[in-house]
Amino acid sequence: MSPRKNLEPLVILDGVRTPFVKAGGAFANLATDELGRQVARETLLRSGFPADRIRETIFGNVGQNAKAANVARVIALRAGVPDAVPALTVHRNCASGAEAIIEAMLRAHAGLGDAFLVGGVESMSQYPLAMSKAMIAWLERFKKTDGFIARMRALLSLTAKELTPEIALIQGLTDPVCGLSMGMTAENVARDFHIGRAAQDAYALESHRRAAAARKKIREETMDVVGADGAVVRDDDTVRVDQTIEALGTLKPVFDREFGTVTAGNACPISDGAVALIATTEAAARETKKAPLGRVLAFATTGVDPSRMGLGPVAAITKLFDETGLSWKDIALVEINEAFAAQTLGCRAAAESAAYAKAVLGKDHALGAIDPEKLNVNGGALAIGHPVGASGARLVLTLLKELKRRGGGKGIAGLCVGGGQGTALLVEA
Amino acid sequence: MSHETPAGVAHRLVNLSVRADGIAVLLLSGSGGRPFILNDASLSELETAIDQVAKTPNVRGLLIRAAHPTVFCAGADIEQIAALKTKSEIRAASRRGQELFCRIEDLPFPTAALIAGTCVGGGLELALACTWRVVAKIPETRLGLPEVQLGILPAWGGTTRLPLLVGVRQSLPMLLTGKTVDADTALMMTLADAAVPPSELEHAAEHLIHEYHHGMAHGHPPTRRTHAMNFLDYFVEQFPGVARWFLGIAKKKARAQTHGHYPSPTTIVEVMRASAGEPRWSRLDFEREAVVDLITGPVARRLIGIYLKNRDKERGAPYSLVTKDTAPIQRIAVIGAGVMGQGIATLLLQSKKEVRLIDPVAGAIGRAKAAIETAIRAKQKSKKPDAEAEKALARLTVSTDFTGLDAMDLVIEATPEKIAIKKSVLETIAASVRPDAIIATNTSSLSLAEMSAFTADKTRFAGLHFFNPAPKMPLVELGRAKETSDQTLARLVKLARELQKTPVVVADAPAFAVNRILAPYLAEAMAMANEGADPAAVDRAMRGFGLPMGPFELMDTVGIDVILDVSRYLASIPRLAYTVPALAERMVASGTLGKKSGVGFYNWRGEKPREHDFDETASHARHSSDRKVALGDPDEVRRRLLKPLRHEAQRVLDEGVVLSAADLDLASIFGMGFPAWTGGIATWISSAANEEARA
Repeated sequence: MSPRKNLEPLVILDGVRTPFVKAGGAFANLATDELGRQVARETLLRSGFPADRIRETIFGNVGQNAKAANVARVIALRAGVPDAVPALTVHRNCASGAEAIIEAMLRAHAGLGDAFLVGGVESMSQYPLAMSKAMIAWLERFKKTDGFIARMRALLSLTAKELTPEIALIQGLTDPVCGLSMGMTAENVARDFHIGRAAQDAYALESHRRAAAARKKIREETMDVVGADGAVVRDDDTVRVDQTIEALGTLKPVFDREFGTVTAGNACPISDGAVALIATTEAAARETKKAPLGRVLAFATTGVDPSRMGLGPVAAITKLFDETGLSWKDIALVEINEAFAAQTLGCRAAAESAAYAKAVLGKDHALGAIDPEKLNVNGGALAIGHPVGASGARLVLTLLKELKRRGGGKGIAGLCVGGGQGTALLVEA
Repeated sequence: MSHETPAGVAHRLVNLSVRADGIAVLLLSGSGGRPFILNDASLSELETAIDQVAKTPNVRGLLIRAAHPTVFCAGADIEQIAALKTKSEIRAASRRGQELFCRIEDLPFPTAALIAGTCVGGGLELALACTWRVVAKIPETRLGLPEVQLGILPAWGGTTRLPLLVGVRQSLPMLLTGKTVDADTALMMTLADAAVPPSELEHAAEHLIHEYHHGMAHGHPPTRRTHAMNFLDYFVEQFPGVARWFLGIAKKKARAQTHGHYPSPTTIVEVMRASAGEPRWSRLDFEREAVVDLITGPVARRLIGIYLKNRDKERGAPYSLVTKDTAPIQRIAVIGAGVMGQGIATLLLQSKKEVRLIDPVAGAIGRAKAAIETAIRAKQKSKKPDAEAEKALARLTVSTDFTGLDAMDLVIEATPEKIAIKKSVLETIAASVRPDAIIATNTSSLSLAEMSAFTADKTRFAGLHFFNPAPKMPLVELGRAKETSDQTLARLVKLARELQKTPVVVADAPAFAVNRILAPYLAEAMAMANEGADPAAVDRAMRGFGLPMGPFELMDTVGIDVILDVSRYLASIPRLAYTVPALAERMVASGTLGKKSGVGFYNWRGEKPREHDFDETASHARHSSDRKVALGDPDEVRRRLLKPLRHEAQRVLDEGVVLSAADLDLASIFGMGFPAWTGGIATWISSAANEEARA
């Protein structure tokens, strides 16, 4: 018996996102607070929902910006939400954007507010380079050094060990518990389920093809953002219209260079981007005249083996079905965040595998096959990109828009989470 | 009634209370929650309160503060100044304030003015009479003595006390330009003794009072912080002879800058010069006698007249229709990211409005956003980000499509002056705005009636004509089409005032008022250039009349192509009997467009416009003319150029393009930079007519 079944649906009134842009590119000089400010203000404006009606602002963010600690608060104030309205930033790695929605749902349920500005934001361009521990120790020694000769000697003692910076992006994408990079966890999944290089490349190609074909539809969820060179960015810039299987085949494996299958081509790009949604209770939604985008009905979060974190969605969806009594036949569309082609294909394989269900999930039956025609119909993160803190909110936005275009129905958004977790949300439009 | 009810107390303008710790507090309130001003009634109450506090035993200090959160005191009631007729009335009014402030200065305990927000004119003179001025660090805090802008001088002790407090050299620019300073500057120049957050004002003043008494008890009265002085400052302050010499130079400079049209700046310098080294009473005598002369003179009368004409309550409908309940305009979309769109967006953001800038041309949006960021961050003084500028920029959203319009209170169309473009843009806007939103066009010449046909509700359509550069130019022409409702105009009047602009309602007439009046004048200037006149000499002559720039510099700044467009438009209307200047055609054909092309009547390639031999560089564009007209004489230049101005202004007035002569005065001063000493172009025409009639 889970109390979650009794949660009141959370209405998603409206939502907008920035295009997702390759890190180091057009949004390189837009910090998280500015990306978030633009998307939050745009969402408030387009939704027509009054900023002073918001009761809390909740944003997911992973790589936190030292200049805007608790970035949700900075975003809220810059977007015109009144000073008296509180704001918090949430962090569940790759599912942080989904976590913001879950947090709003729980707060609404607890009676802690009925209207929320939620979303996710990530500037992977602005992940810092930190001084190495050795460099910090050297600086402390240098401060205490007196005299010209001693100082010169200290300067000469600087070596590569001190001068090599710590790269927050690489550190962030490495699991400190199992010691593996995210790419290595994808290699594990590929090995477990015998997913070869060719299958991964083919899946990545299909993701690009679908995203390119859906460009016009995707424009319904994106806004204009002025990039670094003054050009207006309207579309996700990592979608390759001209991607070929041959081009993908020429890429070398990145993580396991000798025997690996995961390349830059079948892993998601590192991106910058932000998403904002207006989430309310049913009663608060009735205050506006506009028809809402849809509703979030339930969610499940769960933990899995960190070295196979990519399979998190299977565990989360299993839990969600258990708690809601639903099965695949009730579900019109599925979005599974494509961190890696191997990981998404791994989820499909694990969902079909009775052995996996028994050994890992302690279930008698497999979850059931995920229909590829229902899965990521407009492409996924492999093409669109994965600004980690923002993706969870994007999946909900993308899914609701597509469900609506198809005349309604239920959908599931699932994400694998670095550190070994899974999140799944059940939505309806 | 023998005793006052609490309600009666609340209606008092000046409230004195003495706290248990011996600190007296004087609270200044305007009537009905408005800012406090110094008029007959409030001065009487202030006099009573000062009498009372002087008689109260054991007072350790007096704090003067205002009830209004962003105005300490808005100065003297200018209506009452205008009502002073005879010299003895003026003298008495000046003496009354001087004596009151001297009594404050002479109180046996220290006094502190707690200044949060505007503190100008008589308000600053009051604060100057206090021992200390503690200012709040808020953007609204502005201290200044703007009397010179009304053609007078501070005559309640301001001309006397400001130089004594901050030195001759720091007080000169404040007294001569009337410009205000912010909290930080006031602190730096020692006009303020402390600058603190608004919540800390009382604390800081109590601290100063405590220090004072502590010092007195131990035999060392506290000394005043002095401003940074260089050698010149030191000698000017120490030796009256040096001060007189220095002020002599300043007087010559002031006279040259005003071209002799404004007596007030030279009088101010003269008063300071006479006051150097003199005691307080004789300094006060000098300023009092000076103000008597100035107020009775014609220029101060005209400048005060302009001020009085600019009060919406007295201007009749639609200006007077603005009330507290007039629906505010907060969210504004600007369509078109060209120069005007950028300027309007910048202005709106700086005035705390939310702005959505829309232009279907992606490149234009990027350029505009960068230009707006530069303009708004330009005021930033240090490397530290300016919080106000960043807040302003956070209110901006941009888009290449027409989304979000249903959230807008006002949509301003600022697209190129082509009716086909305007049609499609206005139709799109009309289809997406809320039914209560206003649609306005920034057109400078096209017909409002024609454009209103593209909108759904003609009563909520109007012209909103800003002048370039929008953040700086103080006039807004509110174009009234046939169906435009008074309520729509009232909302736009309210907006214009929030933007610190003067609104003038104009009829749906070709080029409205300002550009219409300028056109024949500029055409005449072109004709003179064609005859061989030297543009720089002509401009000098017109600056001598009091215009901020001459006709040629103006045309170069606006762009010869824009001038040509307007000329062609006006020439297309037969009843105006206007012809397109041939020189404009030839200059545009040869790409000589003024500032934007680098060369026009001046050479704009450097930092500043340089004179160049116009014959040489533009000979290809002109008739070869041997007939060099004797146009060196400034009087002759002015005679020729002012005639078309006068003529067209009269036609604008006769045709009812403006609502009144007073409105035309305001439009000419704030839109054309027509010299304020004339009282505005309508006043000037009638007085010029009088003079001609007399001659």
